[in-house]
Amino acid sequence: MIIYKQKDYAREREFSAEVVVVGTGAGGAVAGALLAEAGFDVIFVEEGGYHPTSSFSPYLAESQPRLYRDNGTTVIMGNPPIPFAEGRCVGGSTVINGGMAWRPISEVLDTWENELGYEMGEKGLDPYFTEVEETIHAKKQAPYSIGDDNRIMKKGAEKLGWEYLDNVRAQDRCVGANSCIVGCPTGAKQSTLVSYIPRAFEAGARCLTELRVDELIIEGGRCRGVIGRGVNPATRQDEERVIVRGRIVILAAGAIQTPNILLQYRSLRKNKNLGGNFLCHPNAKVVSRFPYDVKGWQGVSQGGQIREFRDEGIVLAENFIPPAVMAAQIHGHGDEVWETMRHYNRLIACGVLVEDTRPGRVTRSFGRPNARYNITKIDHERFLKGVELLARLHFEMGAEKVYLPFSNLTSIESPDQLPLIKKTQRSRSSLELFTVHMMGTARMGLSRRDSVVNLDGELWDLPGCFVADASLFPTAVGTNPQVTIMALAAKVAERIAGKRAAFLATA
Amino acid sequence: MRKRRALELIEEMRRPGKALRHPDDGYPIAPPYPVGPKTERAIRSVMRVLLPEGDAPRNPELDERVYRQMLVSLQYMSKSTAQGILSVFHLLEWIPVTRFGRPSRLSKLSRDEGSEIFRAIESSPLLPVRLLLLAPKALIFSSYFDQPEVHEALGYEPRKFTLDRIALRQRIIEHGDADEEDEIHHTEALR
Repeated sequence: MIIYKQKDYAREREFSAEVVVVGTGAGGAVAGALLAEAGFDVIFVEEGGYHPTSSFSPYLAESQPRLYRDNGTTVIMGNPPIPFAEGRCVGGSTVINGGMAWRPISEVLDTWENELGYEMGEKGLDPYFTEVEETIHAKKQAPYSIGDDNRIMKKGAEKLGWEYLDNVRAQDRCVGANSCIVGCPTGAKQSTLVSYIPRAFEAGARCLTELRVDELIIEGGRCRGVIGRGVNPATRQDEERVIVRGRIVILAAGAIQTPNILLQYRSLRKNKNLGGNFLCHPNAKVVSRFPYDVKGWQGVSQGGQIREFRDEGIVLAENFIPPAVMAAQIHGHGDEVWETMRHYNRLIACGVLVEDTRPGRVTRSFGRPNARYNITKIDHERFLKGVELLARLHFEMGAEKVYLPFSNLTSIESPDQLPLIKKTQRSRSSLELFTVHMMGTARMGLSRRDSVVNLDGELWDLPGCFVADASLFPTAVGTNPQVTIMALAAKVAERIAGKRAAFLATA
Repeated sequence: MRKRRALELIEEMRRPGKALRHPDDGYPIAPPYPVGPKTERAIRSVMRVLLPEGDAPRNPELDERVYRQMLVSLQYMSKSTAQGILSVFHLLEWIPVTRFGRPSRLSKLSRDEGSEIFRAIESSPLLPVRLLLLAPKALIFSSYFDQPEVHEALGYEPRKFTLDRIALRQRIIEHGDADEEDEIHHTEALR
């Protein structure tokens, strides 16, 4: 059997492999696939279910429970609270993300090189980026996939003289179905479900789905596997206790779940870096209404980005969303929301992404992760500027109304009202944010004093336990993190493969 | 044997389907979260105020689907989140009793009176007060605005478009590049 489901654990509750990989998203799938191809016996453990491309549809109500952690109701606590989304399915967040495939900007990689050495710089990481980009077909969109919302953004940027970059995306002949966030129904988006996981299966890997990891097996000071619970998809109840033994464990459950697994052990909690350095690239949504049909749901979501203000830590991007998500973000209720939503075909949605200036922390309480993060005064100012820029661009392109992410200034109807943003926005708490880029909670480093894992990705305090997800990032990457996660996971896999004999000898 | 099974599985993982609302992939969707009559009353009274009326699609059968879908959604949240959200529904049901002079539960108020209270919550300068409506609104709207009648009223036809694009991609894979008429244009000014 290749894919196990919860019902299979009734007859088989113990598994063993050389490498146990927790998570099948951008990090886990890459590390697992490369190790399987290097000859390791690999077993993935995935909390979510297996949903093939044929099961994807544009309908949110049934897609969200299948594909999203906690049905998309996860929140980072702080001022303001920040809802976040992450995948819980085979393929992880790559199944529900926008598929952006940007390398970190040069300044970020220069910082990493200065702090951690050549291997973490632009040239040192280049082979890993190249491997990943080839596998996921990282490239720009074809003209037939672009919709009018992207054209508005691009033309607006040109008009204002701002730098606009066509997005590099993980896609093979994307036709702009605009269903990225509910699983690409055409199979074009190269999530790990259709890229690295198939490679892993071809090389002999197995995958235990619907199995939530609760504990690590630690014997003789080494990590020797994981213990989890089968989660019944029909009742959502915890059922069978399943033991998965391995000589190496790779945690790739994301920057919130990975530290949550580790933080239950006092010996690991002693390292105060664990769970710290929590970064999340918060972003704010701006929706504009045009006097004509745009039908933003036709054509790729996020065809490009405005990078003009990148030096100020601000990136602007179009990012259309289905009505079920849009309505929840429109201020008001009842007929007021309908009045906006009835013009759904005339709306376009964009986001302001801000680079973090101060990290938060992930802790663990009652077995669950508790992420805390407060935006700073600088972040707040960046958001105000980013929102104002987006509003200006859309008015320039003929928008008749712009809906803002502020609880006390919900919309403006002309560029003359732009100064109201600075005038009315004094408090961070009136800002409405969202994120999908969680990073940094088990950072890589040169010593235990300032990091959680070494440059091989192995925990300083738990030999045999590796991390291969966005938790590894020493700093924020300033752009969409998928490709960086994949590249670092490839690096971790290469290090493990290079020490194969040593690892297997520890058995 | 294993290799052949792996190749079949890989083919299955990548093959596009029919973009069905209820895909037949053998994954059982959980039943609605069990709630008692008082919780049901609280949820329905919040729904009554939050959902649009007028020319927005509304009928008892649609409301029932929205209500049921909301309860199914709760099953996929953590227990503490689901219970927290249900507590908020209770709180919203009882908040109007604090009104000076006109104490009453939300379910006993007219829709307009309830709306007035919700408006006060939404525009409160206090973040914790504003947050009271966040989860109920997200839960109710994500269900309501995903219903077929609502999609039709919005002029949103995602399945038809998705099937057209699946066919286009298949054509591109088989015969090379797309034609100019495959491009997506709705406004001449943007060409």
